[in-house]
Parts: sequence; structure tokens; C-alpha cells
Amino acid sequence: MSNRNKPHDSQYERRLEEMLKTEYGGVDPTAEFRDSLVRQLDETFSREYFLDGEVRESGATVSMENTLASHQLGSESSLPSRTVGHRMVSFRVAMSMAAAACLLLIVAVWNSQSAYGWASMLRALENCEWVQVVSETADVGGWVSSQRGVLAIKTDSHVAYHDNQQQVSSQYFAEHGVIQRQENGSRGTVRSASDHLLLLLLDDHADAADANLSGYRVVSESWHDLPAEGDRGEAIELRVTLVSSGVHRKSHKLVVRIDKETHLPESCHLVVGSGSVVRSLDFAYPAKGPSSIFELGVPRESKVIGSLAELQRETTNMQETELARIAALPRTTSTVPSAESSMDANAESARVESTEERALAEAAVDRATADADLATNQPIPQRIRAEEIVTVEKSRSVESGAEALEAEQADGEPLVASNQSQPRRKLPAVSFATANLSAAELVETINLQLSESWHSQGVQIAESASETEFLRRAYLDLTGRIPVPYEVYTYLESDPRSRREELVDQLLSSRDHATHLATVWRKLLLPDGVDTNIYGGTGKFDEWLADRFERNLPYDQLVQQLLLAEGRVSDSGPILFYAALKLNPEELAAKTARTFLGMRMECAQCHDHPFDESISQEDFWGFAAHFAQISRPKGKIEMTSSVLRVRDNSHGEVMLPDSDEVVPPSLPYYVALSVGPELSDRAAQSKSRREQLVDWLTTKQNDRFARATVNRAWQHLFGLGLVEPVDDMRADNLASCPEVLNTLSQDFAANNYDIRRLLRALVLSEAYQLSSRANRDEPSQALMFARMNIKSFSADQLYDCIQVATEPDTAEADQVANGALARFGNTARRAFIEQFQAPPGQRTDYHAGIPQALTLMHGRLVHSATDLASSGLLKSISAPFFTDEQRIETLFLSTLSRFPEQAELQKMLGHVQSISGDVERTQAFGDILWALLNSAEFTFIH
Amino acid sequence: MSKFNRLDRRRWMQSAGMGVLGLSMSGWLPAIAQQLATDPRRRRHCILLWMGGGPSQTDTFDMKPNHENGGEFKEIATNVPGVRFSEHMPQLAKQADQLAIVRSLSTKEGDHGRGTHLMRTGQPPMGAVRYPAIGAALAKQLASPQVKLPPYVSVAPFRGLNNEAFSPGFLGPKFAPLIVGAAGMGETAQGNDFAELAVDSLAPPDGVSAERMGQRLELWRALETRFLQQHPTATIRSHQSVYDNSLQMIESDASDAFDLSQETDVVREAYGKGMFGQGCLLARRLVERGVPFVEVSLNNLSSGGLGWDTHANNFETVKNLSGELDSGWATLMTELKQRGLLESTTIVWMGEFGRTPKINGSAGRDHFPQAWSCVLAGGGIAGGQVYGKTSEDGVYVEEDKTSVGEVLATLCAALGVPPDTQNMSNTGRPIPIVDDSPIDRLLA
Repeated sequence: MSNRNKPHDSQYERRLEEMLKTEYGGVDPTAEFRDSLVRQLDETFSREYFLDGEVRESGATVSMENTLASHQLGSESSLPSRTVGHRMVSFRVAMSMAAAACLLLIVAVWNSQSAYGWASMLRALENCEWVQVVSETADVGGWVSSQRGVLAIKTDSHVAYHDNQQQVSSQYFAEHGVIQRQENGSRGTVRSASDHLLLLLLDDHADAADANLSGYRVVSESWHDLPAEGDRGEAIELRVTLVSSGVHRKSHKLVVRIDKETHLPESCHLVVGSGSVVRSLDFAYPAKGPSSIFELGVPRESKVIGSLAELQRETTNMQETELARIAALPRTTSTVPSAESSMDANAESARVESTEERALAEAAVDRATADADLATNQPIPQRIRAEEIVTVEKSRSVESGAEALEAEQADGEPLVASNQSQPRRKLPAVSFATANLSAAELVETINLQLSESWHSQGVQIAESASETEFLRRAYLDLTGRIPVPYEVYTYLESDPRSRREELVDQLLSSRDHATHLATVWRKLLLPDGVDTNIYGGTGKFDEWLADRFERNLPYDQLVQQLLLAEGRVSDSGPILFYAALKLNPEELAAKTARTFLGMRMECAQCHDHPFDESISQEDFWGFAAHFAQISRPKGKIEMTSSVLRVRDNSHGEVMLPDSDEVVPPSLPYYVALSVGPELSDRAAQSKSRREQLVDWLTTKQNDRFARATVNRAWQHLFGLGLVEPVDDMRADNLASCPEVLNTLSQDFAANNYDIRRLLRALVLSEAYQLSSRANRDEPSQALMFARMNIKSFSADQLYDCIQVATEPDTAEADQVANGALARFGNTARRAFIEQFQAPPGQRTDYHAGIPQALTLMHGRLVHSATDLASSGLLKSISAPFFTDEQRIETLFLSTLSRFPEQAELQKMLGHVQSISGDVERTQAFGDILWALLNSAEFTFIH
Repeated sequence: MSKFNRLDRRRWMQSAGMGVLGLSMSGWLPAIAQQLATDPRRRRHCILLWMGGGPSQTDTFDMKPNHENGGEFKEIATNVPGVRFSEHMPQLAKQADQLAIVRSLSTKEGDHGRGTHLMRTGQPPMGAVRYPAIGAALAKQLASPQVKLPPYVSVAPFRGLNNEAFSPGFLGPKFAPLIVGAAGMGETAQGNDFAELAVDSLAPPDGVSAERMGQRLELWRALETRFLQQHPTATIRSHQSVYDNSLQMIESDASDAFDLSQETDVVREAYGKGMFGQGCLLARRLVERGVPFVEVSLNNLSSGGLGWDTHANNFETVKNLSGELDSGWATLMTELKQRGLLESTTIVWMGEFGRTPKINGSAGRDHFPQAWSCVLAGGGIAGGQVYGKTSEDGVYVEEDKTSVGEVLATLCAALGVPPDTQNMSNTGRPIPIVDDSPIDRLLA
């Protein structure tokens, strides 16, 4: 279940590893080419079009980034970013296009069962003498020859020519009139261009150990025939979704028109989440292609330079500060030991020059996104981060490029990042793309993304839910209870065009919704099996949560208030979180990571994380150290006085188990990557450790916060999370539909962590409005959310729904007074819940056993609900002006929220009419109610 | 079982009663017993005799008659040479060849709630994992679909100290114990009345006749069938099967198990009239009907849920408790043996911890987890031995220090369940039933 994508994944990685081994005998073949232009093409490409699966409109992007970049540079730089930005747009178009071509070539290892597929297309491309890619709109072009190992790109401002066989890369910068030429040395085996491209792109995310080769994978593909149309003949349309691996996955969707005979692509459309085509490329297969950069229109008299320093001398108008920044761009290359040791001077200079190129290409325009990408898209282990910082520091510490080079080659002992570090990682990692999605567009986007995923996986889509199915489901999921008959009638009588939306809005703003959500969240936050009565019970805690949900307080603020709570243990309220977790740093850390980051960090409590290599034991304890400095009792919690006051103090440390080694507070590597030097800034500001943690946790740079929350919300509504288990969101635990998770979490962060907006979008999505009915059990359908999962009632829901349905005429009846359920501080309810409570997180299973079934069949609750003497419902339908049909109808509406079918009505009528005597007859309705309350249809959310 | 059913129930009961009284058995019972005991397909059962409050080892199975800590009770000889225990358990002394007495148990939890959790789940209460009670874990392994009764029945539990320790934890409510007689907890036999045991909600509520129940079920089945047709998924099927199983249990004579009035007064008295004795009788009836795990708690008498928590007036309390224990437990073993079920039924006697060897100023003993005793008996256990040794004053373990994990692992092994059998926990991590190894010397 949880690892349903895994076999796929590991098979892929194994093949890659095999290929690497056999082809390169363990020597990293990519070292000499590592930082070349091609590698950046993809980054640029992704940034412009597919940042986390989202498109951004070019013009808007540029201006926004300019603003940000200028803002970020502040007084430090007077770089004319606007001009540079403008120039770069056209260049990036070209690069993107070329990158599209590269993408087509990179994933040659894919195998496919279908007659037409990504793999067969790649094979066809590799066998071509030349592949030419032409953009429909721009005056740019690209040429790729796998056989010659050549990649060439031309725009009006920039030309690049890479010859792998000759190991030479040349780039022409029209503005400066110079050609930058890099000879990469003769080391290494000659490879085909596609191999190189593949490896280079994979290297994009690889860490030093090369253990986690990652790259683009086909996550889905499908094809169908295209009929002849106009002057175009028959063809095949191939739809492919490529996803980069790593923590933050980028998704690339391509719709390729393929020639039926040759399997070669004719044209290719890049499609984004919302389904719109952002770029179209045409393919041509000329017999001849450019054999040098000069055949691409570069003046032969252009000055040829070889190094960053030379180029810098050419570009006198460049600011030194800017150059320093350029040199400071990270170089993951230096982290591969084998490459490092054998890298000669040439290669070294080439590497840095390509960094320079990149800077030229992107200039300030891209800084914001580049930094954000670096911060979030690369799962680099801690040791690499350290080296990176070294590089950054070294580079910044020298005045000009040439010296910088030498300094870098010397590469001494690590320096510690200081407060003076440039703020290159300060901008939000979250794409701006979704910031301006309207609520309707958000729904539309996830609808398209899901339907694309169903389509590509060949999953059959269930029929739509009926009105009453939807109504009941929405009530149960959003308010925890079923609708009463009046609410069913009202709904069915309202405007069919808008009633679903109106209903959802109405439910989301109800008190029942707030209290229900509070119950759901309390279960996430408090551990099972802790007797909270000694701390004042859960009532105040629930109310505290409910009040915040009712106000729709931004979720980050709610979490801040919760985690920074102070006060006496006996006060209950938010402090119960700390009390129930015994003020114990480990337990608090584990719960915090699970709930707010979707991470099982505590698996690393006693040893490094068994499944997530990125989490070490020190990471866990460093995280736990944030909870070390709160006042807590010595010894066991049993001795905790309820008047103990929870607040921050300045002492207390955590130590590694069975050692005296104090672990200082730290954040997991990816966190440190995203906040970097800020951490020490904060320490300087002498914030409490809890504040430091909360600051980071809820900063938008930490996109895990949004992702974990979205996944929880999804699980609440759909029974399963997009990632399962919901609290185990590892890099190799893939979402069943990654685009949807990306879209939703970006939107969630961009809209101030608006829970209500999130839930609203989910409930109004097409997937939520599918029926749970099926002709046969097709688990894949439910796993892909192409059919609604059936969810068990929680124990609370079962209790509440029996109450709501039957209006018991007992002391408990005032629970439903004032139009809202009294969920808190109700002992009968609590006893019932205790008996029925199921393990958390497995709502798609039925957990009850014989004891529970006996309770429902014979127990007091259902008995008083179905006994005329105590059931408000039975009393109300016994009024003389009702017909028996109407009575049965009311019973169905009260329990199942639907009208009985004709056959059911007859069956029930038959029972009633078979009974003689007035009192007995009335009791007969109690029998029907009993059957309804015990039915599966009543007991599940479907 | 069907062989029994063909026999005249009254006569059968009487014979059983005669067996208890030590009279000779009329021909057929030993024959059946023999057959059952040697059947390789026989099912395994476990009966946990839970001593709430923490029983005093010094006054039961690890006596120190020559030390000032020993107290006022005397030792008696048993049917195993060299094995001696309290004079207040004379019937058990005649069956000591079935008992393996562990005198070297040593744990670290001296709090009732925590100790209860530790002993009943094998784990101290901490962390996010909801460990199941050993009863739930073994019930899951030993359950058989042919048995209409729930796989885990708990008689007269006092769950107030640590409800989790009686819960199925991450195994889910399917393996939650069916609670019997919890409402009557604390009652002792009054005069000539037997303690009443009752299952919650086993019978329809007053005023709902069997006929009406049948009509209700017919209506219910129509609804259920329609819904299952529209939603043919595992989830809905399991809802239906839980109801079906419950109904079968109610409708079949399986639920007769709970009707102790079907036993003769002679038999009932032999077990003891109190909750514990009657619970042991019920345990025998449940085991006969294939229930894999039954626990019977002895917590009653004067002090509410913690019968053995003898901080004061230790000797009188323990003497009374020992009497109840002796008749209930000894009769249980006798009757199981007569039916050929003792060989397939493993019995465990334990509480949450032991009691201080040193007698306090109120003639009581306090909590003491450092060196105490538990007893294993019956199927799979090498009876007639003492394992481990405490110091002369009873304060320290001198030989074969034993952990709770080893005891529970030995129990698993005796039942034919590999202790390292894994279940998926609520945290998504597979967790073995017991993370420890059995003690080979205790296994038959």
C-alpha cells in the first residue's frame, strides 16, 4: 500500500546502477562535464515552466523575480537586473526548448510494455543522425545528435555547442562578442550524447555517495491513435509524465505526436497542471547538422576566451559583488570524491567558467527561484552542505574571480557559516505560481491533475456520487455527523447548480465543523492511552482548538500558539499537548515531526533512521533539543504536579542515549539548507529554543509543513493520504498523485495556511464527488481516488450519529441542543468511544469485533434509541397524520440520509403490517430503526 | 466437541463433578481425554490467572521459613520432592508436578499502572506504540474461524489502573477482550450464592423477544445485502462477517458457555463460590469450546480492585486469597486434565509485581519488582520444577534472573507460537509479540 510505487522505483535505480557499473567501471564519467550548460538547462527549464509541476507566466515571473532580486540585493548591488532579465528571457526560452529535447533523450533506460512508448521513441531518436528541435514561435533552434555526441543551441543572444566526442564546449555571448571555449581534457571514455545527457541530468540531484542516483522517471505514459487531420497523416499521441525524484519532485508532462512508422516524435507539447499547453516544439530529422559553433552563425573572428577571469576582464561593466555572488553558486561537483581527486586544472577552470556562464544566463532575475530551488529540491546530506558552505564562504572572501579559483582549489578546512553569509537562501521555496489561483481555479487544477493521472494509469473512474451520497458524506466529513431530515430536504430543494458549493460553505462555517475538526486534530496531537483527566481532561483542549478552527485562524499561527503554549498543567487548554507528552523532549519531538512534518523522526532515536538515510540519530536529538529547555519535573510524569507551570527556561539539554554527549539544537539537513545562516541569527536574538523551532517550522521555506498538513487533510476526507502512511513522507515514499500534492501544498502556503480554503477545494473536487459504489472490488481504483474510499466511522462519529439520528429522550438529549453537538465533557460518550476506538490512521478498514457488535445489537445506546419510550424519533413519527410510508421514509432519512427504494419500502411496510395491535405496530418502527442503525450503510462514510 | 454434545448433559456434568470429588470416573471420560490429549491437531489455549495488586511471593511460592522476612505461614511439601510452598495452597500442592515455579523474576516497574502494563504487554508504557495485551496478541495467533466465541475473554478484570494493558492496542478492536462480569467486580460469595458472571449485551435487552429479534435481523439482512452488492469491498464484507459471527455465537450453543447454572452445584462449589472460582469454571467451559485465551482476575475481597495490594494486614488477606486461588486453580487443572485439555492449555499465574520480603510496620508488604515469582503450568511446560533462586532474605535474585520478556516468550513457545511473530504496529513498524527468547528449561 504505502510503497505501491516502490518496486518501480528501485527497479529503475538498480538498472541505473548496473548501467553505471558496466559502462564506467565505477569511475564517475560525468566529472569533466558536470557543471556544463546542459546541466543547467534542465534547471532553468524546470524553473521557468515546471517548478513543482506548476507553470508560471513568463512576463509576470520576470517582473516578480526582478522585484525580488532587486529587493534582495538591496544596496549591495546596483546591477541593472531589468535589462539582464529581459535579455535572459529569450535565452531561457531557447534553453528550455533544448532542455525539452534533452528530456526526450535522457530517460533511455525506461522499459515499456506498450507498442508505442517513451522507450521506443527514445530508441528511435538515438538512432537518428540528427534531431532538430524548432520552437513554433521563437527564432531559436536546437540540434542533438546522439551518434556524434553533439548538442547545439542557438538563440539571438547566445549560442552553445557541446561536442562530447571532442570533449569541447563552446558558448558564444552575442552581447560581448566572445566565445567561451572549454576543453574538458581527454580523460574518460567517449559516450554518446544521450548517455551523457542522462547522467548529467541525473547528477542534478545525486549526492556524494552516488548512492541515490536520482533523475527523471516516467511515472505514467499512455498512447492512442490520432486520426489523419488536414494535411497531417495518422499518428500516435503519446502522453508522458516525467517526475524528478528527490524530496521535492518536479513533474513534467509531455504530449508527443509520434510517427506511426518510425516512432519518431513530430511535435511535442509541454503541458502543465491546468492542462494548457505552454510550449510546442516541432522536430525535424535533417541529414546534416552543425559541425561547429561557427555553422550556427557565430562570427569566426569572435574572441575566444577560456576562463572566468578572462571573461571578467571582458565584461568591465559587471559589478564585482555580482561576480562574487556568481562564483558563490554551489558546486555539487566538488563533492564527488572520485571526480575531485582526478580533476585537472583544465577541468577545474571549465567548471568554474560554466558557473560563470550560468550566472550570465540567469543574472539576478533568477536568483530568487534559483536559491529557492537549491534550498528545497536537492536532498543533499549534511556533509555536503558543510562543503557547500565552505565553498560559498571561500568564494565570497576573495575579491575577484581569478583569485577565487585558486582559493577554491586549495580548499582548506571547513569554515562555519557566519551571520555575514549572503542571504542567498532566504527567499521562499514556494512557487508563486499558485499564489494567485482563485478557489475555483485550484479545484480545476487538481481535477485536471487527477484526471490526467487516472487517464495515464488506465484507471476506471467511478460514477458520480448522488446528491444524497454527497450530502451525507460532506456532513460526516466536515461536521462529523449525519444530516437530519430537515437538512436533507432543504438541500434537495435548493438550486441544483450551486447547492453543493453552498452546502460546503455553510458546513465549513458551522460550529459542528470546528468541534469536529478539533476532535480530529486532538487525535493527531495527543498520544493514545494517556489519562488526561489528571491534567483537566481533553475538553478545554478541544474547545481551544475548536475556537481557532471556527475563526479559521491561519494554521501556522495555530501551530505557533500550540507549540509555544505556557501555563499551568492543570489549566488544560493547549498546554495539554505538553502535559500529555509528559514534557518529554523525545516524545514532543516525535509528535511534532509526525504531525507537522509528516516525518517519523523518532525512528532515529536509538540509531540512524532505518529507512530514511537523511535522518541521523543526531538529527533526531538535535530536533528534540528544542524541547529540552522547558520547565519539567524530575523523574516520572506520575509525580507531575498539576500546578506545574510550563514555560521556557535557560537550562536543560538532551543527550544521546547511553552517553553523556549533549546534543545541541539543530534542524534536519534539508531544514538547515533552507534556513541556513538564519539559524544562528536567531540564536543571536536569544529567542527560546521553542521559538526557534516554531519560527522555522512555520516559515514558508519549510514546505514540508504545508505538505504534511495537506496530506493529513486529504487523508481525513479520502480515507487514505496522497502519501501513505501519512506520517512517513520520505523521499522514496512517493505520493500516489504528486502533482496534486504539490499544487495543494503550494496553494496552502501561498494562502496563509488557510485550512478552510484547503478543505473546501478538496470537498469540491471531482474526486471527492465520486461514488463509492463499485461493481466489483478494484483496489487500484480506490487507491488512485478514482472511486471514493469507504471510511469507518470513528467511535465519536458512531456515537454522535446514533444520537443525531434518533434524538434520544434522555438526559443526553441536551447534547444536541442549540443546534450543535456537545462533544466535550460527556461521560457516556467517552465510555462508548473507549470501547469502539480503533487504531488511528486506518480508516478504510472495519475494526470492530464481536464485543462491539454485541453492544450495537443489544446495548443500552441502541436500545434506548429504538425503544418507543425513549426515542424522540419514534415518538415524532407516531403522530397520527403520518402514513406508514412517510414514517418509513423519515426513518431512512434520519439514519441513511436517503429515501428508501421501492423494494425496501415494501419490505419495511410488510413488516409493519404483519404486526397487529397499535402499540406493537409502533414498536415495529423501532425494529426498522434497529435494522437501519446496525446496517453497514449507516456505519460507514461512503 | 460434538462427542460431548451427544451425551446426556446432566449425566456428563455429574461425572465431571465426581471427578472433582476424587471418586472414580465412569469409563468414557478418560478415553476421550486420552484421545484429545494426543491429537496433533488439537488447538492450544492459554489461561492467565491475573493477580491484581501484586501477590506476595514470600507467602505463596517462594517462602523463607527460616528468615525473619518469612512471616507467619508455614511451608508444606508437595507431590514433587523438594518443591515446597505455602500451607494455604494444599490442593495445588498435590499438582505441583504440573507447575514450573519461576522464583527469579526481576522487573523495574513498581507502580501499579506501569507494572500492569509491563507484565501484560511485555513493554513499559512509553512512546507512540500501542502495545497489545499479551492476551490479544496470542488470541490473534491462536484464533480459529470455526470457533464462534470471541478469541479473548477476560473475566472480572479491574482495568482502572491501566486500561491500555487490557486493550488490543494496535491489533484493533477485533481482538479486544470480551468482558465477563466486570460489573460484579469486587463481590465475593455471599452466603450460599455463587458469584454471578455475565457478558455485556450477550442477550437482547429486556422487552425484546427472540421473535422480534429475528424479525429485526431479517430487515437488517435485506439492508445489508443490498449495500454489500453495491459496495463489494473487503471493508463492507468484514462488517457483515463480524455481525454474522456475533449472531452465530448468540444463536449457537456456544453462548451456553457463559451459563454456569448448567454445572452442578458440586462442581461450582469445588471451584469456589467467588468471582475467581466461578471465573475458573467459566475458563474451563470456554477452553472446552475452543476459546484460545481466557484470563481470570483475582482482585476481589475487601480492597476493591487490588486484592493483593497488601500494604497492611498482609497475612490474613493473603490467606483468604490463597484459599480462593487454591480451589479455583487446582480444580481448573484437575478438570482440564480429565478432559485431556491440560496438555493443550498453558496456565500462567502472575501479577504486576511482587511484594517486599521485609514486613512493614502494619504487618504488610509493599511493592517489590526486584525479585519475585510467577508460575507457568500445563501444556508445553515442564512441570514439577523450580526455576531460579532468591537470596536467603528474598531480596535478591541469586540464580537465573528472569525478565518479563523471557516469561512471555516462554509462554508463547509453550503455546507453539513463535515469540518473534510480527504484527504491524500503529506506527507502521512491525513489532514482534515478544522481543525476547524463551527459557528452554521451562519448556516440556
